[in-house]
Amino acid sequence: MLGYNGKILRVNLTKGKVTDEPLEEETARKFIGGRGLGAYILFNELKPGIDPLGPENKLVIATGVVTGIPFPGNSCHAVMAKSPLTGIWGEAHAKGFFGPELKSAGYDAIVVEGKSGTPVYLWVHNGKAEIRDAGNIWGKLIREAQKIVKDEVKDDRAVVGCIGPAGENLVRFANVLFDFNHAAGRTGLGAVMGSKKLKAIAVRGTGRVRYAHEGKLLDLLVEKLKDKEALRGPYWPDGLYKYGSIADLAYWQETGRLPTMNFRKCLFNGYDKISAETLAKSPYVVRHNTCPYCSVACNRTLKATTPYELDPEYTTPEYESVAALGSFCMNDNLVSVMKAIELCNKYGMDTISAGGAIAFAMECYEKGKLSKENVKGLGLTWGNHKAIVQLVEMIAKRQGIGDLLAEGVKRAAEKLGGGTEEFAMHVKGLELPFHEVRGMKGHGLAYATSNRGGCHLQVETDDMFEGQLSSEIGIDETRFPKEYRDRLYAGPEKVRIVKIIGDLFAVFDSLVVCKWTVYPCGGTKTGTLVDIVSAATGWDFTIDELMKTGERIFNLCRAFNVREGITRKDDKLPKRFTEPLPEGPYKGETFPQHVLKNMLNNFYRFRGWDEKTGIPTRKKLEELELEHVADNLETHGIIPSIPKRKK
Amino acid sequence: MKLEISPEKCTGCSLCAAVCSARLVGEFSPSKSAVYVESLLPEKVVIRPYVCIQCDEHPCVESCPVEAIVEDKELGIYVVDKELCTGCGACIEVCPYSGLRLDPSKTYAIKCDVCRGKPRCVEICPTQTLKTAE
Repeated sequence: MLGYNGKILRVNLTKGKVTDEPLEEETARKFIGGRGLGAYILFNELKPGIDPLGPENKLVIATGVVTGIPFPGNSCHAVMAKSPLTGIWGEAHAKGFFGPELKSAGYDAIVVEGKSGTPVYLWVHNGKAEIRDAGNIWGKLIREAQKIVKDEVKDDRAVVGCIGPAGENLVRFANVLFDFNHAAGRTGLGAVMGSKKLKAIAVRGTGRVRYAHEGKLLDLLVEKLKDKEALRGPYWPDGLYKYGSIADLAYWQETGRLPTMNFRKCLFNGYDKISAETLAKSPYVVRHNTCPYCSVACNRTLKATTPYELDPEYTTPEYESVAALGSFCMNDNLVSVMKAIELCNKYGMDTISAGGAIAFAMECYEKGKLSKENVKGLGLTWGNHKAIVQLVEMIAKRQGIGDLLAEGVKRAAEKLGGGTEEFAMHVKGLELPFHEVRGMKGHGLAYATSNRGGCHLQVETDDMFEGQLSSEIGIDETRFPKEYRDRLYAGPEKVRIVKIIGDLFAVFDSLVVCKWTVYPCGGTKTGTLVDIVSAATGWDFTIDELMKTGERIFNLCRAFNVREGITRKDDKLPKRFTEPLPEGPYKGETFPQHVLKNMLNNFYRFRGWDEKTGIPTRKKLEELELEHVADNLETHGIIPSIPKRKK
Repeated sequence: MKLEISPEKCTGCSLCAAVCSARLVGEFSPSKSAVYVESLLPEKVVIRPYVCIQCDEHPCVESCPVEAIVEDKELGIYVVDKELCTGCGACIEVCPYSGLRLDPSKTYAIKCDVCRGKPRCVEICPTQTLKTAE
């Protein structure tokens, strides 16, 4: 098969065995790679109701067809398992060097199953794999662990993905760090590795994947790179290069939708102290960093000595991280925000969930739901950066109150009780990222219906589309005139956009591409991606097939979730969003329950799901060539069985 | 024709190596390109491309025991004659710019030929780290 290695590595940690399995072309074309391939494997192989931290759970790391093809945004891979944070579909994506290296090493994906009795790491190199003892690196921070692994495998070009102490301590939002600062952040997949006693995966390869039309791939690359203006990411006037995604912070502040104080406020007075411009002008930026073959270089290396010493190798100032540990906790001390991010990376924890958990704790403390005993000497008041930095470390080590917060806000609120559920800002157990849905209705629906819970990366809508159309995927002026793209519009046409983008992003996460480089956030057109897939594989891939594939993958992940008990009742938003925004241009704006109800009705209808339950119908699943999924749901009594025909 | 490098602008994206190898050997193989970037080691703090800049001193020419580095008068550059080159590596040793490297087959040295006058790496470099100079 061209464009792929056609090989999956299966690692059974209980038996200590590694085996190679073929990746069939039919599977590859139907599910592409990344999210799609992971969902295909996990839906087929996981029994519903299993403990995400038990040996029955499996972890899939999958590249996609474009991974490693020199083109901006192509250096990504997906990590997937049943999530210990949400109990449903768990998925996170990392960029950097790991994905391309795994493909050079001869594999399209790795499936890890079972559980090792003692700490181990996996060493994958040029078509071979071995399980090795990790006794001496268990307990080590990310970089120390990675350096030891590289020494042991005697190859400093090996790329290592690894968990930190947070993953070992089964912090439910622990992540997996690739290199030192590319995180597969969300849904607690680091804890899945920790539960399996798998500390790290090191890969190294010198092989290469064969492509159908390599000359065409080069032409596409050269054409892309000729447009110098578009290279830096067209979404931002000054470019992702200069500011990175933190440019968002000023935008949300200016438009009155910067989640602040655990979604109780939407403006943050100290925003300019932690903004992208302030950082760009600061002496802290040492250099710009990039992923392989990307022109954007949105990442930066930071160095500072006071009031905290920053370790340049760990610090990655992204919007979500800065908002999480900055504005969301009312912290305007820039270096402390970076320090907290650095610690999350060092210990291996998701910054969004960590910030969400800390803000939750601050609100609990403010409202007397946590006693002084609980938070000994922390000074857990809004904006206290010392407390934030300290708490990050306490969560990772599960010390004191950190042990409770390491469970995530949903479980923490259940344990605390006393009405603290109202401060737990999550959907399906996943702490919300920092987008004020009262001022962007499409995003509210996206939060409520995303397959991994409260997530901003499975659908982007609203502001993104007000100025940007894409006729290739049917988002044009005729079909979606300006009023339908308005951020506050919540009618059926907005829902339709959410559906289209959900399908599109499902395929982006399967190809696997970086969303900063493709429509609607970046300049690469969907048609160009289709051309890349065709040139790589020799298939006659089309936009229609791409969109249908996306819909198939979206439905497959939903099927995974309904098998775990998810239905319409779970597609909801925190109650706080029904309260009016207190200030700014959108003062008074709410996200009423009846609005969400109507949006859901339309959403299920457009998706071809049962409107009452939100469960995909057999008809829809069969239309998407997912008969085996429909049969499986039927076996579990989730969808009705087909009435037997009379003979 | 000469090349000019502004190392401080380099982000380490390695697109130059991708297009270079595609032209030289018809495939994306950074290990076979004439320009290479050290950033492929993720923890490297210094990142920059290395490529022959067609310097005036060209110690590589004198170092070659088999006179395989020959002048292209039309373009005013020195190139490696792959047929003559034995892959001994003497030129690599003496180059002060780390501008040459050995092909993975170890049979010849790879040296930039400025794409016969229209260097692709310069054309595509997103940060203008690589430029042409007369």
